[in-house]
Amino acid sequence: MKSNTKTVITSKGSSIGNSLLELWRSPALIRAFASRDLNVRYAQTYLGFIWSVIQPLFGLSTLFILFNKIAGIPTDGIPFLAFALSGLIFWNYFNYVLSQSAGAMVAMQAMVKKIYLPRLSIPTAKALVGLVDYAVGLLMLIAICIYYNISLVGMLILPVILICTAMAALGIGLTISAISLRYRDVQQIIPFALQLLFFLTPVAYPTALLSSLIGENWKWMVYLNPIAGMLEIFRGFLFETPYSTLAWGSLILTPMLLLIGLWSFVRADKKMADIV
Amino acid sequence: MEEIGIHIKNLAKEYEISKEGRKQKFQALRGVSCKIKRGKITGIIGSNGSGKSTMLKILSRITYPTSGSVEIIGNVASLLEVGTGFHPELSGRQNIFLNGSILGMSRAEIKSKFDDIVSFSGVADFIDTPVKHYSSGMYVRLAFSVAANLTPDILLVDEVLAVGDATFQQKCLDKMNDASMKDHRTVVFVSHNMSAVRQLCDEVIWLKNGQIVQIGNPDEVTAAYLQSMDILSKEQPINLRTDRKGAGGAKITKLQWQNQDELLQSGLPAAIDIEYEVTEMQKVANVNFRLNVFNDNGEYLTSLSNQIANVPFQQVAAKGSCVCSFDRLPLAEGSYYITANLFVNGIKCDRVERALSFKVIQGDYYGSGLTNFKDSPGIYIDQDWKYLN
Repeated sequence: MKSNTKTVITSKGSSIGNSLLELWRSPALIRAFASRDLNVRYAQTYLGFIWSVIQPLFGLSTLFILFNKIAGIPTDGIPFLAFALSGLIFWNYFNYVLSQSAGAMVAMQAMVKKIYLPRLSIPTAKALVGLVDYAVGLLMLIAICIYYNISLVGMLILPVILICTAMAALGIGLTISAISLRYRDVQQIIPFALQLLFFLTPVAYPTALLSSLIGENWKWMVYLNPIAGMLEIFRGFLFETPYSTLAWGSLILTPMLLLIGLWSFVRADKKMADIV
Repeated sequence: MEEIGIHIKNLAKEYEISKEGRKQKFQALRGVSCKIKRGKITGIIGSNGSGKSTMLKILSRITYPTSGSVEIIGNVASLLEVGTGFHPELSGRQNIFLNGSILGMSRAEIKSKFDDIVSFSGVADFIDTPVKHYSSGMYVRLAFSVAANLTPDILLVDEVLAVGDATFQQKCLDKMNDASMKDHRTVVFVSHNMSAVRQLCDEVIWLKNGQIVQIGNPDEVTAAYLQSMDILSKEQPINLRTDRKGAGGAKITKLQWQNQDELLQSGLPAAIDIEYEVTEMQKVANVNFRLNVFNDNGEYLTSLSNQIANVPFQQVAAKGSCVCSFDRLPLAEGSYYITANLFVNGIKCDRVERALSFKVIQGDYYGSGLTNFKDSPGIYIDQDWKYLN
């Protein structure tokens, strides 16, 4: 009952290692935050959870009309719905985790000022909550693949891509969250930046279209956007289409993004209660 | 030898504040060193801005010190404010789990204590109702109940007792006492309530301007602290006080007992002279004084108010005086102070804490030759008794 763990508090604050260790030790807290978000999410709505199904359907129809019917962009011979949805579920997850984790700290300032808790638990919980919508989208994708007779074997790569998406989203989100403690302006930029990035990301069109626009020499720039490379690899596996080796670079970039995010977040953490 | 629970070494905290556009350093703590004993209740007292809340924030790891260090043996839970993280859309049950996890409990721990928490809070009938439908009292009781059922080695408490009704407050005090006596937990308790501090604590630390003035026996330290507060207000008549709160525009310029060289005695006539001045208001109507009377433990006793007494001062001048008198002073022997408030046109224009301190000597209020049986300062109440059968 009586623990003899010794905590030493100094001016140095916490390290990345310590923060991660604390996070590891508080699964109950992460779960509590995640279930709160899910419980609150559709409170007082009539359709409730059905919204999680309507939203991706609506998104997909918009892409279908815009990119397929109006612009008539070819999708490497893959049925448009399967192609677009395979990109949309990752994009939506990335979008959700990034914007939520970037704003989480400011949103939680009242709590952060009053009580100590492993602060990484807040964005981590957001990454879990995003999985619910992701799962709904994934089920729709599986149904579409079965309808078009596409083999599901390629889905085996999915966990890798999903983890990398989470790392990229959290990494960028945490960095923004650290910056926004002092400069709230970044919060204002996020929606625009994400919208712009959406059109620059090959969600509803193939990567080749983008690289042909900027030329072969600058092709590598496409893969600086981690989602671009990850989508290309995922589609390569699922639809058995060729993908660039450069795409693997996108994947390698994601743990680095996470590290940068953790570093800036832990550094900001020290001053969190004094600023927010 | 007594075990040490928290070892504070040369702790300092500096804040950067902007004052009139310029950045300034503010020293909240200036080199505090002390040892807090394991399994005991230690109180921290001091006026606002003395650094006691900063100290608690550092102990609970909300903020980091600028220099110095703290060594804590055992796990810590802090109750700096109860109900942190409560979400209005969630039910009482869901909030217990959420708040419990935020306070560092595991799910299994919360499950095992769930029934205790619910019965302690007294909101069992509404446990599946969203807390947005709770009354503020229910909300606070539920929030405190989660916190009160925590089992950390070290519990940090800040002014939680300022909430809830008297019965619930006593329940909370008892719970804290149990935590220390039965479960041998270390409790650090920050409060303005001197009688709670005396009742609960084994040791008291008095902070002033970020430094320790005195550590030791609760009775001695609280007495010394209260005495220093009294001197402050005795030295300064109300018209010279600058630490005023309220909207401004009007102020109380005089507040003193008539016949100052005579001692106040229970049961004898007494009167308070009051003067006021309205400076920044066009129309003066409804001047209302509210004098809150506290005993020297900081416990609120009663209010003296022309409005409560049904004597509204509706049409009065911008500057004037009045008197509040008693045929028989109903205060028992002891020390008291008054916190004075002035309302004009329904606006709280002026508030002076500890505006008037005074002593009352023993007297025969009831004319029976007997006095109140308890020796703590309190009020005499007129009473009628009749033997029926």
